[in-house]
Amino acid sequence: MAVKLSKASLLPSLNNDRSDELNFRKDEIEHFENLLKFAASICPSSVEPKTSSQQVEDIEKAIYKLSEWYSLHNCHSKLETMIKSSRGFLTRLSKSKSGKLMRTMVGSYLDMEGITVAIAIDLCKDCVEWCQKEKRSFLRQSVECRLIALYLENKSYTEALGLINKITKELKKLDDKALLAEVHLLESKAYHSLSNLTKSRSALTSARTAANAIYCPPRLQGALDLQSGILNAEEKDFKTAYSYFYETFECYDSSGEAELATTPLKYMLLSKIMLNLPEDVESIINNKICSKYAGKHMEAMKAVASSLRDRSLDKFKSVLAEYPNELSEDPIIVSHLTDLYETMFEQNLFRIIEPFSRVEIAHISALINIPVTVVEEKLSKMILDQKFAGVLDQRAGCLIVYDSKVVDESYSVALQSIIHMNKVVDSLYAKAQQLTHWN
Amino acid sequence: MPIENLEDQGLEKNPDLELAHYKFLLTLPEYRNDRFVHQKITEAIKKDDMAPWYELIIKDAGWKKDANFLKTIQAKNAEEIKKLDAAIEDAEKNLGEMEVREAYLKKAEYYSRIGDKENAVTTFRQTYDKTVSLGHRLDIIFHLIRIGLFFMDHDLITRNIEKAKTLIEEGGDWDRRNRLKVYQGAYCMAVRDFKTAANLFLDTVSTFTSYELMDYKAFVRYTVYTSIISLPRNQLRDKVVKGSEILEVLHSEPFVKDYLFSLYNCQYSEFFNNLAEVETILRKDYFLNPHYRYYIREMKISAYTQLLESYRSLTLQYMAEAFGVTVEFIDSELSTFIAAGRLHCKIDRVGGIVETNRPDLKNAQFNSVVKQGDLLLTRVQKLSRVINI
Repeated sequence: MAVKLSKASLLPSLNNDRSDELNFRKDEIEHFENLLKFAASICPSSVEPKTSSQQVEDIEKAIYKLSEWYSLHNCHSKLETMIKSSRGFLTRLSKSKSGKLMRTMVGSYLDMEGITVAIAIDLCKDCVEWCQKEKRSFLRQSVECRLIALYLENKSYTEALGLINKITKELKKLDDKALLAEVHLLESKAYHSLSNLTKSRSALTSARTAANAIYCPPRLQGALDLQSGILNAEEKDFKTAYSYFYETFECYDSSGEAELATTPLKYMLLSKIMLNLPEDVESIINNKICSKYAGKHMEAMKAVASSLRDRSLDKFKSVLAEYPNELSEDPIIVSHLTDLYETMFEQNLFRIIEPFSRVEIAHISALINIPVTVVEEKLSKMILDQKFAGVLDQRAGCLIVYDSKVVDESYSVALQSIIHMNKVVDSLYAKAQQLTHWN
Repeated sequence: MPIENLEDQGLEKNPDLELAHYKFLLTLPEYRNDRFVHQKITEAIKKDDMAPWYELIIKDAGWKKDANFLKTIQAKNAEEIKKLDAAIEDAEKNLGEMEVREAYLKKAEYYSRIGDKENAVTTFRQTYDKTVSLGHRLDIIFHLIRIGLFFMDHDLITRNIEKAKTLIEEGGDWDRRNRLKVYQGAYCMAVRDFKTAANLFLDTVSTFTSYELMDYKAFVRYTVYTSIISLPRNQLRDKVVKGSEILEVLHSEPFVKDYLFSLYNCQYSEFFNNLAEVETILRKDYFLNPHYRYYIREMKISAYTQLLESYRSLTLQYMAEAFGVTVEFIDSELSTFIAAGRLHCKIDRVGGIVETNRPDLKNAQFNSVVKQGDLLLTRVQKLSRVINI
């Protein structure tokens, strides 16, 4: 014990250079780990072993450095044990310092690669329980916030929504607007994945109201705008969606968060495509601001726009096959592009069918270059949805198109008049009965 | 809204319709000796001393009568009734109107909890006479409807629903109005009126608080089943397929989602598979068991009609493939339905073709004009004879 204490006072001064900061020498790492073992030996409720304030500071610094180091080098288990074993030590620190320490550790754990969502959820639940025992409500709420985000990734929506409801009640009482805005934003995302657009929109409005009351950090502002854009796109209001995505893009671009900025840029191009303005896509991409984001994503969107301009279904399908990562990973893009495909398909069919009153399905499929069965199915669905008046004749393998007829109202009117006359006769009959009785 | 637990806003589960469901399961051959069902029922009987219901079960499900057990719980019932009667007398002598009414209400609730229908109904009637406020009267009526649903006493249910409707017209609040809609919908389902049931359920999807009848997932399931069979395609799309609340619950009920979307997206072979499963589910359901055959037949007819609607003629082979069955099966099914006049088509077995012959609207209208006109003329003639006396 005495040896360790003396080593603690010989803490080497570290460089302030950021790039070197993390290149710890092996002995420094060992030193930190020794300090950590010492910290772990501290039992939460006892007073032994005694620690001086200098030791406390050193251990604190050690924990910070180690968490960064582990996170960088993906030592999952070591970081996990550190989080669990340093809990005793944290009781020696002031609440704010221990809160910050715990938050940093959990943050670095979650930033590591290779963490499965299940493990992360377990760790967060563990931390929440500890916080509840120690009555650290602020810390608990921020860990619960991250837990909700993990639930959403894991698609366990019921748990996420349950936790959200609990937290919102507490946060409203405490009036913690920053965390409230984040939680409402997560709620909006959850409802969006559950396809409940009304609730998603209302959650987003509450998030905005909470965020408006405080200084909103650019990240949060960007995330709010992105979510508004997504919801507007779901309601097919692509013009508003485009403006929201543009705001998000500006926000992320100016605050220097380059990796996050590609998503709103992609969505901007997507809105232009859904608005049927493929020329704008070109102009946006060639814009100076966006040039630094050029890459496979932008290529993919450019290809989609050109296939839209040519109204060619073949090209569209080949684009989808060529860029599977960029176009099939994001569920929002997938759903909108599927809608686009269906609309293009229908428009093409309409154009082809227009000059005909009776045409073979084989001929249509040859013109549009899509197999007969697919064309036939699509046509029967269109007829069912009453998108055009026609009928399929499988015996002859052809489609018959009717002209839209003017419905002749005379017969229905005649029927109505007869029904009314019936009623008149009824009442006359009744009156006549009365008269004959009196006579 | 209903994902937050609004169960505290629901009324108390008295009588517990789950027990009615379990009792009904006992009547099905495969559940007759099922241990889990037996256990649930015995637990409930023991917990609430349900002597009269126990006797009913012995009679209906053929259980062995445990005389000692029956005597003990009957004794407990009698004791409790004496206590409640004493409370009533005390309230009548010493306390005010409110306390009298509450004492009667407690007695009536006790009767319904032990499963004694006649006494419960009579006591509720007495309580009703003593109740003044509209809200409390409606609560009593809801309780009576629940008892009716528990014992499937159609007369009791219809009378009380009528009474409830008149009371609500006089001035019921929205909460009770919506609750009545749910109760009415449940009863309509039990009498095969699927169209009304679907409309009522769809109205109340966003304001469901009647957890004493069924939980929210079961409610959405019933809504989907009744809407699929009764709503035309465009209404089905707007209200069910695009309804946000329903979509939310369907995420956690993948089977119902498949069933709905397989019909809507014209994937007929999957639809037939799902329909077979739905048949087994409906057979075990308390409300829908008497109607499951009708339901399945109607769903088959609507699937065939949907397919035939866009075709003037189609090959039997194509139909068989679309539904994932053999040509013979399609042939026999179609023949039954065509002979019953439910499908408007004709089978050309030699050429292997089915031709649709949709009744032309204009011809039908012409025929009906002629018929109605004839009837009208006869009546006018009769009238003229009467007047010319």
